[in-house]
Amino acid sequence: MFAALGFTKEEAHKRFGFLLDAFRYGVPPHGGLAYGLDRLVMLMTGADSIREVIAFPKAKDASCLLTGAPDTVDEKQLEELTIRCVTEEK
Amino acid sequence: MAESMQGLHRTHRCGEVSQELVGQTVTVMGWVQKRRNLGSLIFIDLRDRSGLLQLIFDENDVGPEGFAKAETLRSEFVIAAVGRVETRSGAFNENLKTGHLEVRVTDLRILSQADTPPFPIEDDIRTREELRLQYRYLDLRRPSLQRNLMIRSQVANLARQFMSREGFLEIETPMLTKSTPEGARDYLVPSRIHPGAFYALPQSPQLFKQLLMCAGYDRYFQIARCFRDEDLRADRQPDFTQMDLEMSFVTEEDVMDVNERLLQYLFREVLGVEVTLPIQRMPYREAMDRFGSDKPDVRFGMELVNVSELVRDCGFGVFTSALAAGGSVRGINVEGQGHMPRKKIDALTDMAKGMGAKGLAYLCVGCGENGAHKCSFAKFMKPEELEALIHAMDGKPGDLLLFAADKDSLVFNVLGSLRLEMARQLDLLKKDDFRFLWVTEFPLLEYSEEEGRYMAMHHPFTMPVEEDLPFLETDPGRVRAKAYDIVLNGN
Repeated sequence: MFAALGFTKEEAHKRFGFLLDAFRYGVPPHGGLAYGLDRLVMLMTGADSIREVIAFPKAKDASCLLTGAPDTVDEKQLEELTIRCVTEEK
Repeated sequence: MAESMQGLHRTHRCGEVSQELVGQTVTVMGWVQKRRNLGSLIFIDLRDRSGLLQLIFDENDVGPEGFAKAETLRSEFVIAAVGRVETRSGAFNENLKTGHLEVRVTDLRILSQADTPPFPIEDDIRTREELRLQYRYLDLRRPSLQRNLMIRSQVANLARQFMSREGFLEIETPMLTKSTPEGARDYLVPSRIHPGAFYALPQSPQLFKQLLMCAGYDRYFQIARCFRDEDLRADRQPDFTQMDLEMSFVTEEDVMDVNERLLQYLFREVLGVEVTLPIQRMPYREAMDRFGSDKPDVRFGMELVNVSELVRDCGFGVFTSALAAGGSVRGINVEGQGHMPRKKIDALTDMAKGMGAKGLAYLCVGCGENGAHKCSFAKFMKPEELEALIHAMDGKPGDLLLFAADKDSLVFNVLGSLRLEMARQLDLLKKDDFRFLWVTEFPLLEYSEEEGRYMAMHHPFTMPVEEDLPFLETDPGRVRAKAYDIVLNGN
């Protein structure tokens, strides 16, 4: 499977070796499912958008117009994280 | 000059004040929806998340000081009122749960004054969404949003009860995790303690739920917050919520069964809608062939028809060259829309081009002069070829036939989207019609032109269908997965 995905063995191990390891210690056959709760509730309520069933949704450009996120942070916070921003502010 | 609510205890929400309480004293608290002065009387519509309740202020009951205070009330003031429940003296309001009742106030307190809100707090709202999102706490006061969030809470609550009864354990998985190999872009969180290293926010709990299976927690579920840093697309959220579950020692049938029963339970309890089980199953291949989508909206027909064989030898280069390149020619029949103005057909063509199509071929059955066909490619076709095409599309006079010719994936995308667009224009999508569908046998891999390689269609730990395993090395796109998705009304 990983070969088909274009992963080398080493890459696969680096990315999710922990799961491959776990499978070596006795893994039961398993299966599951996931689906969007936002969209389910949207359909159940007849809302036109998932924004209508989320208390604090983001705008279409992924920003939060209420709090102003994402936002710049203090220089000190960046220093602690050893991060320097190289993009100029738009 | 806000007053304290000291000594007062809310006895009822506004919408809970009912006929049986007539004659009794209640204490209600909420927001002023509206004030009306009628000479010696003041009426207030008081609002909380349960609904509206009419308060009546008469100087004889509330006293001159209280009456003066009532005169200062404006929209969105937060007040507490004590008074006696009465049958309305004036006309009943049949649109309101409490429309036969009013509360004759004897004690009023202003708990908080309010500035004039930037938009009125009412459902019939035309305010632009940016402003509503900026003042979301005001927007959330609107009855429709309050109803939506209350239903959402109810859904989550019922789901937890159901899953618990079915023996599932609710287990939380971490938000700060390792970057995942497949799927969308990760949101990254820099580590302070490990300079230069990053956590990723989970796109799904996939790996952790499989670890939980390894660890013996044989039925897991979570109402899980997930994060995907995707490019702007309509109606997506960068952080969103999944109903997520995983089971050990089960077949696909078991997983589908428990999900079907959960959905049936939710729709019955919340909406009183009966979902018939088992839910229809449709292999991925069939969904693409018939609806041009892996999440088909089956509330309406307008299915795709493959006419490749009929046009293989025709004189229309657009069709034949697509076929020569290994693609297909398919069409949809938009019944009764043959007289659609040229402008609207052009708009559909632009939409198809926007998706990468070279164009859109159309045929308006019998809509030209003297019952001739109006057709964008008639001059390339023999009359009997056109008739055969119309017959294959089940075209009747007055129908609009739309055709796309290209490689399969593009034809599906174009016609699948046009099908939905036409349904929207023709108002075929009924919101109270709930059509569930399982789409099964997804391909294990799909080829990404962007990446130049095969990518896992669901996730890299999906099981292939055993009988397809030999193709994994020779023809990876052909391998089907033990993967399935639940679809509701095209979502």
